[in-house]
Amino acid sequence: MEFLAQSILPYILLYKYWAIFIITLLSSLALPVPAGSLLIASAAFASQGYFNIIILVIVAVAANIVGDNGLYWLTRMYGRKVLYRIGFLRKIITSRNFVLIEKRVSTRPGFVIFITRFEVLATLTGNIISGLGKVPYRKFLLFEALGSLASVLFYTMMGYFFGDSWQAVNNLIGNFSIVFFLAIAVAVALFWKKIIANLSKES
Amino acid sequence: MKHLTPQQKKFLKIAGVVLLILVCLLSLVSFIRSFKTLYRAGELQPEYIQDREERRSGDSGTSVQQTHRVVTTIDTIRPWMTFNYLTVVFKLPPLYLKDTLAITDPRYPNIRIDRYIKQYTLDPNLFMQSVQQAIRSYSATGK
Repeated sequence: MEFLAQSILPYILLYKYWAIFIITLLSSLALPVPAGSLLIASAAFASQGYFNIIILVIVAVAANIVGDNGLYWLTRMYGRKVLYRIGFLRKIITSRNFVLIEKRVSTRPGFVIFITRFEVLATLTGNIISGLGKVPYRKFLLFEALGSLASVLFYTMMGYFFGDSWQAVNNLIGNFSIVFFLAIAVAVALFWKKIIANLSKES
Repeated sequence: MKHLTPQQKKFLKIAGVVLLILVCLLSLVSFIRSFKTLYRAGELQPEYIQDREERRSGDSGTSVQQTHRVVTTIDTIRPWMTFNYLTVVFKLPPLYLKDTLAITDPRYPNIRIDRYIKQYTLDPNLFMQSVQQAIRSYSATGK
């Protein structure tokens, strides 16, 4: 939290919406920036009158859309060429399980694309798999935009309504996401064979 | 992994899943604990100006804005904040801090307090106190 306050928040205060746009964009392009925390903090500033909350939401959603679409098109056009050159990644993307997951995402992308917008690493994975699997662009754009809007609204509303308790709320959301994603990891680990068997049946 | 027998591999997989479950449970416990602590401290309730003012009665450093908005107190001013931010949040006249603190930097109000302190080799504690004092006196007198 101290890192966020010392190194990112001053830029938000100095460059306002430009800083929010650039930092959110970098985060959706795979750079390790705490975009969720940043949105919560910015919305807390909005609740104090420093930002306009509507402009803040529009800027953050736009940045997410630009970043996610950029990554989607990059992986769609050059993803395979690049990944085939890296030994262990080539193994992963040519594995039977990855092909099954990719196929599943390509045929029914809506839910996966929407839900992955709420966590940075999941968003990256979702964008890469969508690009590699050549998910129809219109579908990707629709669910990506809806997911981005929902996640930005979630984070900004937290910051806006909890105001100067935003640091406490941010820590709590951080703890909750850890629990949530660990629980998903446990479920996937426990039911991996079943999941793969189901995917094989579907395909 | 190649040198392991199937039984050893299975054991490793099970151990991995058990470890994952344990970490998950520990994080859950930590989450519940921090939730309880914050809830009891009243940090998880949206605060409104009236509530905050009642709770912090006697604190003259509140900036009253629209009724649904939260307030910032002088105690929460930090060196990474900018003069512009303080001017907006505490509803000060645009040049108030510049005149009161005799700031000559042309970048005012878009400059971080800590950068300003560093650039002009000022005493950080003393300068922060004078910023707080300036805002306090404006809140008290409106001048």
